[in-house]
Amino acid sequence: MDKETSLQEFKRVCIHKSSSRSSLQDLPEELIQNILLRVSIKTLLQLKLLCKSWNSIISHPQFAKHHLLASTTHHQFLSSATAAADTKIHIFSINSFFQKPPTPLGFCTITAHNLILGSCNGIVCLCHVHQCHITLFNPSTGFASPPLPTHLSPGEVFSTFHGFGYDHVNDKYKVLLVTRVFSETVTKVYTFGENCRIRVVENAPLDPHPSGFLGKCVSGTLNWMAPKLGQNDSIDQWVILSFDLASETFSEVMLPDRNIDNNICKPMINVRKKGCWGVWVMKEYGVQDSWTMLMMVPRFVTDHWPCTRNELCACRGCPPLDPLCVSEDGVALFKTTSSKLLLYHSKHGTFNCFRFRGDIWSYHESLVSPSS
Amino acid sequence: MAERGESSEAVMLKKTEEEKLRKGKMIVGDESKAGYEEEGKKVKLVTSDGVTMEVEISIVKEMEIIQTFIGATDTDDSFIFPISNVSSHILNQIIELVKGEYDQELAKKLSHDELKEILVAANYLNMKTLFHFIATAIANVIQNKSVEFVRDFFGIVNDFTEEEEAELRKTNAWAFEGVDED
Repeated sequence: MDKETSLQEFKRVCIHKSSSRSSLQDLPEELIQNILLRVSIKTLLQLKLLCKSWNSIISHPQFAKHHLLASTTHHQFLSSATAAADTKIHIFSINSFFQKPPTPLGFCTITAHNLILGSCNGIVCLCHVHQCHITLFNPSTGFASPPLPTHLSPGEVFSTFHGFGYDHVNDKYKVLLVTRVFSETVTKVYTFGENCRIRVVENAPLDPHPSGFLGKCVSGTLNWMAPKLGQNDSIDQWVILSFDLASETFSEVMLPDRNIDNNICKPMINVRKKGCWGVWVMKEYGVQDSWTMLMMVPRFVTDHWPCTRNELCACRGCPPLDPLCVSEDGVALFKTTSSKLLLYHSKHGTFNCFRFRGDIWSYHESLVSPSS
Repeated sequence: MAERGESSEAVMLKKTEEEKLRKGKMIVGDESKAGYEEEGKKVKLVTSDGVTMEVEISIVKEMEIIQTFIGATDTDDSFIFPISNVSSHILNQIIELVKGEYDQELAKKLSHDELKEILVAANYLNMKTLFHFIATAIANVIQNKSVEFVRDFFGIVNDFTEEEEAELRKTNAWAFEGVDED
């Protein structure tokens, strides 16, 4: 190719590249989207008002998914409080928990008598305590799905274990409810979306420990700590009971070391060993060799606040720490069985703690609409 | 004797090894010199305002549109690339940002128009690191700002009717608390 032909060819490539842009005042939509992927949910909701084309970019379900993947993890948490007429969902960051008194980042009000069953991808699963229907709700956008009837009584819904998560294979949000009436166990999966459905599936081979009825959602699975009982009903071994949301079947996942007697929840677990609680993470879900120890929490941290007699009974054989999150710089937030929040700085070996009534769920704010 | 013989053989071996090594070093030396020449090499670019600029190869290497072209054709050093969408002013800003190893402090000194023009140029020249850097910088500028500020930043005209705007404001009520001062 001679120089003149090369020049023509290069110009052709460049013109092709720039054809999508008319003037600077009019940045192509592709570039606007790239900027918006880096903006917080709160700002995005305001920017829907900018003009019609921005409103349609921000409202698009695909944009919500991309934003969820692109947003760096700011650890946030939810807690609910019921007053006479309504229920408030409070959103906290780690820092806002430790202000005195704890000051939420924001809140939203939902109809009374709704309890949180779980939270995943910025969507909260609510269960009405009287009517027993379940609803998916996004506290950031205020969007709620139509309620799905469970056809259960209130006593049944909360009789044993449950979980809420995202099935990424089928792009569906699913709720698992296990009920037990007169020793008959029924396991049902409620699938949200355009073709919502209820399906009875095979029961779990094990029962999760009573201290953790809510399954933790990891990589399209729900997970509970489950004891395997030996002779005289003594705990022989702990495993993770796992429910695959795509195939809708149960399986077991092994803990880092079978001989260690005490562990808790996935993805992070605690192991009592040599006067310390070890925090482990399974870096690649289902791969036994990927268990990695993140930090050790000295026993004195938990011994400092002994459980009351009743709490001890409730957590028989189960460790007192439930890890909520671990940040990159080695700060971990735990909820203890005695209703306290514990913030442990592994680099300095220091900790803060305070009493916090009510349940806490991890939360990752998003624009995702539950029914799309 | 036998031992000595072995050791002298070992010495011989050592010498040839050393010689090889020295040769090797010489070869390595020549290569690094060639590498150095490559480092100092410049590529000629002519900007939208007709300015011909000689840009260091290390910076041009981030411009994938030019790299792909150099790889596919046998252009020589005298070839001048017409960068018809980028002005000499913006190209200078880009060079500063790449040399400054993408420091967010540098981005703070840029005007709103410069930020947008660099984003367009980064997309046009296919400079991935620069694109990510500048898109993040713009996102930081508009984060938590009022709708009016962002409209002004992008030069966008509101095309909603009053009713449509009121309706949207109602559905996103809690997003409007605590907006930063423009």
